Amino acid sequence: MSATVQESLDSLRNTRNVLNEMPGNLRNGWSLEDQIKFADDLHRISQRILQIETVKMTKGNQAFKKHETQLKKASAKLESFSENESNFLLMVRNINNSLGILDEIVELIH
Amino acid sequence: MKTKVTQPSEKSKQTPLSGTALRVTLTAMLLSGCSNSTLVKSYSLSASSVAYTKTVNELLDETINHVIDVDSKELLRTRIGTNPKQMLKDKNKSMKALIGEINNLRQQISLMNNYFINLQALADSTVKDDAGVNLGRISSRIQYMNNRPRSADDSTRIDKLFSEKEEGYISQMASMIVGSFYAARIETALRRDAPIIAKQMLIQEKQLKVILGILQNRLDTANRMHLTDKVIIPYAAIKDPSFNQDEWVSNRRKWFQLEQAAPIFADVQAAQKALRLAWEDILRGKKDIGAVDTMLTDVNDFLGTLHALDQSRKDESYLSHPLGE
Repeated sequence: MSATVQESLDSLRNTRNVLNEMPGNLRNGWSLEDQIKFADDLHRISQRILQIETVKMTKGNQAFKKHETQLKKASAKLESFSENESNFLLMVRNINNSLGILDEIVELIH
Repeated sequence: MKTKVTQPSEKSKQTPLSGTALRVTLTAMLLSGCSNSTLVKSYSLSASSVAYTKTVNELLDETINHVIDVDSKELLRTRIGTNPKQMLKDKNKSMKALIGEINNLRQQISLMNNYFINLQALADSTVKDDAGVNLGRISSRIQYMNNRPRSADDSTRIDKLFSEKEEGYISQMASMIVGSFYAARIETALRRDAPIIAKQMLIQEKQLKVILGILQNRLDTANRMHLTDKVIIPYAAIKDPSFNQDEWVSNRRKWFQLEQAAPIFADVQAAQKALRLAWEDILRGKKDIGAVDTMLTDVNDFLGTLHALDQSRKDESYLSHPLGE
């Protein structure tokens, strides 16, 4: 059980790393709308990571019990975009479209 | 640029320790409380506890600093987002919650330190009928802090931290005490406090594991940012007139140094576990001496290295490259 929560956290951290490593000069060539999507993606993922870390510290893995499978699924989906999509722009758009589920799950846990 | 990342996972960083290695200096803490009134190595009680508390406090400081720094650097990357003001507000709220919990742990560790110092004082006391009032107050405070709900929906917070097996372990602590080994006043205190202290140590062990995972992750993230902003992007920008070769060489060297500063995260966890097992030894009246001091020395070396490297990186105006962030 605890492995699932840790795996979810690792998936989100991996996705954040890929976004953080995206060169600024590449993003500057995108439309304003896509640049905003990039910023929202990075912000929302790192915000959720902070919240998961805080819950993990105060309440332990038991707090995730009801939602851990959904959390794992949502996190893995985001990570799969960062792993498999070689086009950065499409990656950012795909992540943006899938973040709503992560938001909902973390709100329930938080 | 896009690379597959292998995250340092918290669950994979534990180091199995031999039983011998876990017989710790703290065991000597209560030797002075033996019925034969020996004061052999009584100094170890307060000394080990103070050293441990100092080390963990420094580790917590490092964690808070790295969490804030990485978060601030990310905020600079996300300023163009939909609602920057709200984003900053949300992040501040989440950061405050995490830092608040880290500081709660700091407070608990400080209370534990006071407990061990006062236990030593009770063991050393020449006052007849010294009931160790301070000790009782501290253990009550520890118990209260662990059980108090932080919000209306948070009443089962601590219960959630423990498995059934761990609850069983805590409840058995008082029965570990070897009655004939200690003076009556020490035995009374130990019987009262054994489960409280064991529970506190288990909580600290779990929370430190999470905190070490966070620190490890933020160090990794900071190193990746350094590599991207200070090494890869400047190197690839072959037409950039502001490119400074010496600065680039220095930044690349620093990245390698940061990568090689092998953190001794497992040792901090081992030290915490060692303290808990030492507490068991104290209850059982064992006299074994273990390795906490050695581990703490390693951890302090690591913290020193970490601080020096981090300082040198900050001195180089981390975010200054025009093509970086």
